[in-house]
Amino acid sequence: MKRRSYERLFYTIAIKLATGKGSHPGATPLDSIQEFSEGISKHLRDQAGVPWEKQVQWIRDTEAFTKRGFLQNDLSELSEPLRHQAIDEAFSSIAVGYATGRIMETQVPSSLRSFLKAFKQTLGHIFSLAKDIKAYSDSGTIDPEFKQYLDLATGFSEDSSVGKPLENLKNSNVTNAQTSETTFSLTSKDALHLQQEILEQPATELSTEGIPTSMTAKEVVAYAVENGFTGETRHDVLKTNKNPTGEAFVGRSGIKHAVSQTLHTEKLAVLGKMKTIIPSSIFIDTFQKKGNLISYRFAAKVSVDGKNLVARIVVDSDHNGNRYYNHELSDLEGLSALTKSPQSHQKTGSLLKEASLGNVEIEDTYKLLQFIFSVNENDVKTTTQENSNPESTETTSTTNESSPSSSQDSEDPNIMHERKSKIDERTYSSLQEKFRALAKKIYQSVIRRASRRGDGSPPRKGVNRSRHLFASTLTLTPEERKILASPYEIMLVHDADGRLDSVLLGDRYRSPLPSNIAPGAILTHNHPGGRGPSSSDILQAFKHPQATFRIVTTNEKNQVEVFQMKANLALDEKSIKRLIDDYADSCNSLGDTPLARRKAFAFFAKTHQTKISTEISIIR
Amino acid sequence: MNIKRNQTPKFDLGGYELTTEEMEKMQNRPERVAWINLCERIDAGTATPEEVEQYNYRLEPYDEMEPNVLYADMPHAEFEKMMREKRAKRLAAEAEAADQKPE
Repeated sequence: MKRRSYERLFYTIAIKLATGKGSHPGATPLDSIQEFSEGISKHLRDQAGVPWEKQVQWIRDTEAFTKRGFLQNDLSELSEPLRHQAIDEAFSSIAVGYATGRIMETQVPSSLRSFLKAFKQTLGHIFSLAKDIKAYSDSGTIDPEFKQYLDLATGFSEDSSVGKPLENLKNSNVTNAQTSETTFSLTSKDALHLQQEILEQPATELSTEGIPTSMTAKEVVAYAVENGFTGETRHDVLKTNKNPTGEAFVGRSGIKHAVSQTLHTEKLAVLGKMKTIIPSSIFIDTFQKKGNLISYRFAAKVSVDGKNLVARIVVDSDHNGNRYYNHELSDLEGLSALTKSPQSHQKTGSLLKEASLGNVEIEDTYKLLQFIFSVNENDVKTTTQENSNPESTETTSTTNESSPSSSQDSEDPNIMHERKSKIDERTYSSLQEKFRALAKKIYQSVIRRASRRGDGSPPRKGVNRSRHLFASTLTLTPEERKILASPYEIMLVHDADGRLDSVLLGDRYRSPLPSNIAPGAILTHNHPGGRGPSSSDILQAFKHPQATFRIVTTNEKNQVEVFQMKANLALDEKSIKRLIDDYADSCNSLGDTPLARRKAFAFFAKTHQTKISTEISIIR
Repeated sequence: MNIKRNQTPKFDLGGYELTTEEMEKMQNRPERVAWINLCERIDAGTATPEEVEQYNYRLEPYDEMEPNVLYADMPHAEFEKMMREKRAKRLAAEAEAADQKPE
């Protein structure tokens, strides 16, 4: 029975893809991935007996790794169906992100990694099967086999299995050439599909006549309000439980934000009609950012004084309908003259090369205008600058995934795949570069306060942090707070008096230890991944019972965690290995997530309290 | 200067405290119980050769750790994989060196 529901899902999605039938006529591969992943999430919960709490834990772990929000913080207020829906959607966002390359493998917690790999492979099979069905259909040899698939999809065939029909198809002459490709080339067609949709859309005719040519941004906002640019609008895609009519509001702040990057009459002409443009605009995609912020992206074809343009519209909203400014753009050029070219958007990079609009043809034929609005004008809030960072990363990788040109589309899919991998690798390398630079910056800011500064200068008195280190309740020193933000591990070595002696820079997963650990030394290092102590940390604590080990980390809920441990006695190597292996096994049995390590460490500490003194604190 | 520490370790897990039930569940996890029993048999010298092999295999990864490195934030599964690969490489290199050694 369990297998049947999964099979039905498998074949239903393949048939929908092949025939364009389904809940959304003309469903794109992305729709199918979403539908499939949501179905899998339901299947896991309803059929495979995975508790929803476990699913939430997976999602929270992924949030901690990706630094992005997929699921609202408080699920307790939601009714069961809504909670399940939220979980399915969050699960789907992760699966789609992984399948399309927005979420890298390294950003997925180990508890979910194997599952997502299998998921991606299964999707490959689904796409392959969909192509096969389509090939059958096109060649006119569809009848008996297609009936079989439909039967399977609707659950009428009793002796069905996933393998059989796949095998039948692979043996077929019609499909041999096409079953080889199991990568996501269909995703690229998704971009093409969107592009075509935009190009085929009737353009909204606009004119710049009567629009003043020289105004400051402030004047523009006043002009826009006076001339009725502001007001309510709506789009079906924006419909949610809290916004049942899909309402959006073109307000002063939205206009101010839209013109803060570039100011020109064409843009003002579009802004003047934004209320009527949004309802007919084409939905590109949506994604969730940290802090429950959701961005909806739309595109609309407009013609200003006979000149073709594509307006890209971003509507930001949170679950309560509050507005947020998008700080991603605030680093760019501020207010300037009306004559500025829209091409200055090039400087935003990631935004211009947007997932589905990053097509050469569009850039050649149409200029791109960008507008940012929010769902609700009330309760203006601002997000932190950091919120923009994950999106920059995401859009870069998305661009790599789906920015085909017509010439690329005809190329060997394997070559395309190789290219994509190379680009992804480059993106990955550039991220690593950024991480290294940030870690180094933090390291340098901290080492200045140490006795030994690693620059050959004679030792000086390091900063004294005894007040923090020896406090009766666990408190972080300023340096410990600093290294929390480091994407690489940094080791702070304090002497027995609490003075910062030296600082060592490690990498993403490892931290060096000083060659000599003095009695009474206090060694603090950070865990960038948010996990608690590892078996290696505990091993070193036992190997150096003269020292205290502290681990600082930011957990999956953005809370600061401090773990402190000091071995009470020296153990032989065999006993240490057994202890730490038992600890590692406990962590693994719970998924080796931040929460798992917290629990396993608490268990370990309680079980072995005669051997090791520990303190754990979550600093809210 | 001594570290001021409570004699009883604190378990303030910010709402994630282990319940007695959870403690018992972790304590009595079958794999854990089996491992503890195996360790006891090893110590008593009553383990079968297969069990000794199993025991050694399980603790092998820790032999490969570099002395002055903390594999701190590394997931345990990745740590184990890395150490096993390292061990395999080391053993292969040692075997090769032994082959090349003139008799």
